[in-house]
Amino acid sequence: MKLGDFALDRINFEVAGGECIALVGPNGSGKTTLLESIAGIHQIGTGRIEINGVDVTRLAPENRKVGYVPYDCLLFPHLRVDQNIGFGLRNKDAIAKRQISEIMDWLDISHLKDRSTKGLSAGEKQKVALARALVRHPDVLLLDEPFSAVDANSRMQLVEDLQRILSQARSTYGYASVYVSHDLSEAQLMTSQVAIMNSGSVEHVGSWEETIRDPKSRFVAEFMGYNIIHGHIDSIENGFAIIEAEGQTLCAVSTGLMPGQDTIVVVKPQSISLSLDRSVRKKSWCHCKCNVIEGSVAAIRGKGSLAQVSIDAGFALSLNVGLDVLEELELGLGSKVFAQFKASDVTLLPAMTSSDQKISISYKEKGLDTI
Amino acid sequence: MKQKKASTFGILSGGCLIFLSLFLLVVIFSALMFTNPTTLGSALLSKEIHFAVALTLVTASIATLLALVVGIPAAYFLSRTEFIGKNMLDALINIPIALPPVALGTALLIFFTNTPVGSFIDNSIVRFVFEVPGIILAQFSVVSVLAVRLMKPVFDGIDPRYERIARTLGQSEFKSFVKVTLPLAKNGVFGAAVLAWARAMGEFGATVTLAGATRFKTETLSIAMFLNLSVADLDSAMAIILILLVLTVLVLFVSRKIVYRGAVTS
Repeated sequence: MKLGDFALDRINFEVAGGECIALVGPNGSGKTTLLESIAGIHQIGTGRIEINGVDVTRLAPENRKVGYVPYDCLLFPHLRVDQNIGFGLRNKDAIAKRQISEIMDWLDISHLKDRSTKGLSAGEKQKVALARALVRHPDVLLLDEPFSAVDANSRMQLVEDLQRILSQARSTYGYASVYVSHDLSEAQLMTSQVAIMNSGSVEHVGSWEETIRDPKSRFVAEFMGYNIIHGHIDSIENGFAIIEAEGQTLCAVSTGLMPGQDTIVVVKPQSISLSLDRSVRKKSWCHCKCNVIEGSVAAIRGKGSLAQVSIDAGFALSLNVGLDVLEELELGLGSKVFAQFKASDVTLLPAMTSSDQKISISYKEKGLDTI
Repeated sequence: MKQKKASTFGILSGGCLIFLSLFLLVVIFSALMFTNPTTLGSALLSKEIHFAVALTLVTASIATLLALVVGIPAAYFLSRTEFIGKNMLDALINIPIALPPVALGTALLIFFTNTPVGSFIDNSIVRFVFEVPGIILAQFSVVSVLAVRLMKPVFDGIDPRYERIARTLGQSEFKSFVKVTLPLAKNGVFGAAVLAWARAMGEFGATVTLAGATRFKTETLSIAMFLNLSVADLDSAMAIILILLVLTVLVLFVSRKIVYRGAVTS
């Protein structure tokens, strides 16, 4: 699908009925365009979109039975809240009024019934837009960054509310949902599956657990905020790969890469522990094969109760540490420090991994398939 | 509160506005001063003036209605659709605005009298030349493009994503336009209609060329004024000016009120 100079390409995933998949990726990666293509707002040139086993690729948006909630809600300003919610209902009779009333009760927005859409808070607008989409009982619910306009204070409450509402709605009506977000932690709360987009393509599809544990490509690892180190496999010893990286020697569980091959070493920030000497700081790691890397603190950025610490060890390593640890180790800029992480927590990727791997994950029953 | 000191540019631009307002007021005031209340009263009561007022109101209203029927979809299409030759078409529909109305009337007259299609329409379907439908057509030709010009920016200002959302909520393209875009554009469309109507009320050049200037037949207010001036009946001409002035001020005042209220409440 092409939109000006932008094109969607190599997209293949399914969402089962009752499932919710997060569509994440950097700005401009095509998340909203893909969502709008599923909604029928953009026609795709080649490929196929199926909803409930029906090919809807050439169907107009009004015939697709999708519920779409855009990031800015787009409530119709000339209609009251209840009129907005009932906009998509074919009949305006007593049954429709009951449906509107029920969904408003369910989303706890009955008090807004006769209100104009002006003056609603961002959270209230989101709930009205969600009610407008849900009242028609769509087969697929498409949510585009629903919390982007909500201030930080109301955000957590709204995330919890929406999580509860969507989970109830999915189990009651069994529709599939696609949730676009750029906030990984928020997306993890709302969904069980994730599709990561990069430059118009879906780079990775899988469960959150699998994605966090085992990133399949350099892009996915970078997007997840993991440390990326370029290295070269020196040897394989007892099932462990010994890697030369910028003057340091690293150790990782061997994954089939051969000595002499270039590799990308992925280290999750949450797998790294800091110490002032070479001795392994975590007792549970004593019997594991550990990497202990000497470096110096290059930057410390405060982030609430956590601080992001960057270490220069010939390559950059970044991790989040609690302020208490920071105080205990008396870390400051230029402090000498040892970064420690288990060999089993290191992921090795071939140096040439790219997005050209074909991803196809199958689910059964109700689903949505964008190819 | 400290008063803001006026800048030179502010004084100059304010001065221009005052000059324009004074200029219009002086012209209108001098015309009114020339009027004799007794003769003006009898002119206002004359059957000719009554005929001209009725004919103008009817023809201008029909022409405006037709201009909206054609102009709203045309303006919407121009606003929403990208196609090859759009700029050329955009320029083409501006021709009636740039062309003197007399030239437009002449072109229409030639079409209906000297081309096979035009002659067929004029002889067999509707007679336009020197007839009342000719007045409506002349007014329509002038005001329809004006309406398109005025309404296109109104549609430009409405986020097309509202229509897309309406489509995902089960509405067809037409219903999305009627239920969402049109209500959102109503103030702008109403403003365009009022200006088009006011322009049609005062239309002269194209009307006199196509429909002629026949007393009690194609005698709109502006043609009646022309006919009275041509026989030096200044009192009747002044009565017509007064009527046009009152009607225009009334319409513009009321429409501004409505549009302003809409802008505040919607």
